Amino acid sequence: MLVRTCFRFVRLELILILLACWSTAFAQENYAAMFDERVKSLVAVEMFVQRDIDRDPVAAVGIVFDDEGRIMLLDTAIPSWLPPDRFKDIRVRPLGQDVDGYPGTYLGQDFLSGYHYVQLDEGLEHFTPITKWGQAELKRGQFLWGIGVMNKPWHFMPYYSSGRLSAVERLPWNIGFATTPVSGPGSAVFDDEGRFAGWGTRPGTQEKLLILENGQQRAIGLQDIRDTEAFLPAKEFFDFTQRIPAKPIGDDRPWLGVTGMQPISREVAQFLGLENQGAVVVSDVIEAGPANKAGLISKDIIVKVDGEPLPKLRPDIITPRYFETEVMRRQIGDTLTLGVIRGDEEREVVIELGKQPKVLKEALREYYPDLGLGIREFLLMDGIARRQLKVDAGGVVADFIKPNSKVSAAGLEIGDWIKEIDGTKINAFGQAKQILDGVAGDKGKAELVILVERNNETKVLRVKLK
Amino acid sequence: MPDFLRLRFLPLFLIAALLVSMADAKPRFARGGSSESVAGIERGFQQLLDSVVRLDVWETTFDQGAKRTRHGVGSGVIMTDEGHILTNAHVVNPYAERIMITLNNLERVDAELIGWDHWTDLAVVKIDPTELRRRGFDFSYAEFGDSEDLIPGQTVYAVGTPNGLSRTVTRGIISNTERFFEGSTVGRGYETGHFNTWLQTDAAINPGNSGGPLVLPDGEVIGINTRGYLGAENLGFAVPSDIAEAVLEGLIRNSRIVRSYVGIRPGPLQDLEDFYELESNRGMLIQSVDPGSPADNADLRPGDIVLEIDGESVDGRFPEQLPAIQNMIAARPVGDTVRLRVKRGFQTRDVTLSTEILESRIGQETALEAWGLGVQKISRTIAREENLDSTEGVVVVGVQPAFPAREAGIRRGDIITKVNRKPIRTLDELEAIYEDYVADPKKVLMEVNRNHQIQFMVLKP
Repeated sequence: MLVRTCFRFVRLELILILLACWSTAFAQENYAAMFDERVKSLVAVEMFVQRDIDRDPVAAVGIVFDDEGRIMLLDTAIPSWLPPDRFKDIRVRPLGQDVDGYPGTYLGQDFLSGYHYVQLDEGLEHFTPITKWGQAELKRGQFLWGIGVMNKPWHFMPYYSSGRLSAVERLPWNIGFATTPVSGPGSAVFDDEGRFAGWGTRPGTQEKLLILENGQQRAIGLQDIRDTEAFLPAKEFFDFTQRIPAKPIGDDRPWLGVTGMQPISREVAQFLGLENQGAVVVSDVIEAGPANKAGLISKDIIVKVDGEPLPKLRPDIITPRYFETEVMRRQIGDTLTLGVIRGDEEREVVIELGKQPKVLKEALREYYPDLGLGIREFLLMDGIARRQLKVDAGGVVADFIKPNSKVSAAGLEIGDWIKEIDGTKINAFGQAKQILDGVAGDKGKAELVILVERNNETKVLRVKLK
Repeated sequence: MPDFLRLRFLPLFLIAALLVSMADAKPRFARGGSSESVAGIERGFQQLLDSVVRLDVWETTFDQGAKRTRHGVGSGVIMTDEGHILTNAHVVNPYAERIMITLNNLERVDAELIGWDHWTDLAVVKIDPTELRRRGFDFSYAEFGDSEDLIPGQTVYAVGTPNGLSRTVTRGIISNTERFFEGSTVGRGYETGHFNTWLQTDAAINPGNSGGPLVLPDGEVIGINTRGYLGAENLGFAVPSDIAEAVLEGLIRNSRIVRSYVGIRPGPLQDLEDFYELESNRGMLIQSVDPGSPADNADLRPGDIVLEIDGESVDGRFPEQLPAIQNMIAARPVGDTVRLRVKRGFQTRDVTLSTEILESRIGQETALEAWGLGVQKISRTIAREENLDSTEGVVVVGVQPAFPAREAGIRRGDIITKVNRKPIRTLDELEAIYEDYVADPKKVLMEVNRNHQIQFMVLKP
């Protein structure tokens, strides 16, 4: 209606009245046009993930963030515990179109945020980098709109959503929340002038009451799958686009050598005489790690980083995340001065950051089809889970057990720590690989005896080979 | 939830402790039915019937940090003229508040717990003969037979209170004389069955039969009925009388059975003889070694084969043979020296161990009701399983909604290591702090270990 009115005025050349219409009409009229243009900054990235014996299809929405056709995906979009060479056949598809899409290359993952980067190899001309739309300033209550994305059977059809800005909260970096879902995870949010306002992240949990037929009530949490009201503001988004690793496996990470950082609540802080600031408790330090060498010990309470008191963040759990972020933002070799409460006194501990030991995606792996056994290098995280608080505990763990295979019949389970094979102590991955390679090549062998540790108990398992 | 909090029932087992409520059990009366001739029933059997009792037990249970009383019904058999009654450990345990005995003549008297032994699922309670005589009651007592001499196919009777039906006699045969069950648990998670095998019978055994005797036609007690299969028919199991007799004597003498521990868990050698190049019928496989145990300290490892215990060779080819071998060590006095001949690879060596006392993984339990907090002392086994540095602290087994512990953020499975910065070594130490709180409620600071993450929590009045 308003459209037609305006056009009639144009025909009548009543310029002044046209200008009066402009401010309201433009904004409303052009959402369709703005939507169609901005959809071109979004992509659906598809691939499959090669597991030991099967494949998992993966599809995620991402944003093209620069002129070179680089794309950022959410941390949850791709399994981050697998090495990048398991990500196969990457296709980048425009939204809502039944086309094959264009090939892409996996660039890696930022260890701070967990976000993934993909390079568009072809078809750049079909997409528009998000930078083209400018950057919105966020103000509570402002109008926001964004693009939701349907799933694959709908060819990732984009649709319009809108709401208003409820709050921006530090978690530990800023996250915006809208009154209603304004986009989908990995998709984009804009302001009323079409400027880029933020990147849809994982949705928050809605607290609901489930009322059963018999009148019973149960508190439950519900989470949307396709829509989200939470988003990473544009400024933070662009900060994270600068963190593409040098190689797909990822960059070396700074490391403090502590584990189980826990927040303390307001009551406990008061009890310890800490007001209006955050603090984290160190559960354990890793043997011979940087913190251990510097003299940090279990149950120390960290209250300051480089002289700055830890901020008080909510919910409590954000404070340790903030602290971890503070560490991760530094370089290997940097020194970090921690203000620590031990017993009743505060002291300073100066730590030189080291390099983080291997993480899951970097672990060496091998699959033995005949046994149905996948082994993986024993990592620090495996050690922590088993209270071996040191880097070089060594050995291998059963990473995959094929159902009804020889090793599954023998009772081997995923997560078993393989300590001995045929009487040989396993101290390193290469050693286990050598023995199992030998078994695979020895057709005459009837039995394999494996000693595993499970739930802190050791078991002798016999694998019948014939 | 940490694994150690789950009650580890074997999947198919109904441990007969699930003493079914009597409310729904209505008898159906047959009209004009024929009854078996009483001529065949021997005098001894009549005496046995007079010795079997029903036990009504009211025991303290801990539900989410609150104390509750639960009522259960089981069976028992009077075994001495002093009024000692043998029953199951899952019928009566140290948390019993009241034990009421119904004699075969329907008279009711109270009994006291003499002792229990969950490892064999046996317990002894006692009625007071003087008191009984004063009230003009008499009772009979039964005698043990020899469970060693039993053969499959022999006729046996089970007597007890299945589903609350007092003085029920069922008949069957011995189906197997040495049934083996890998270690399972009774009641609150107490270990059982490491040191004995079971007699299997097809005489009907139902919940409530627990603690009642399995007898020969002459009334001799050859087993204590203990468990049955859920969803199966005529598969009942009894602790053999040879074990029961020894436990009864031990409990009467010391109120408890003390066993020795070296930290070896055996596994059957079956099919492994070739791999270990053993002569047949020789050796017991060490399946696992408890960290920090005497066996661990002596450098014994899983995969080692024990050939001899103090010069006596052992044969652990089959699972059924393992309880007896375990008992060879357990039956020794604590601190005794055990010499093991052990084979590892091609080498054989002698290892000398000094035994420690055997403890349950289930520690003493209590509820601190004003906090809404149920706790259990950490046992050596739990400390080992959970990889804790020591047995200091208590594990939270329940919290009451809206009570201070829950409000402070304490959850089931948490381990409370310090309270007001003082280490908690015993339940008494914690209870002392709790009593102070009850007398004068003030904020309490707790140091909690949750999956090895250290957390601090403040309990507010």
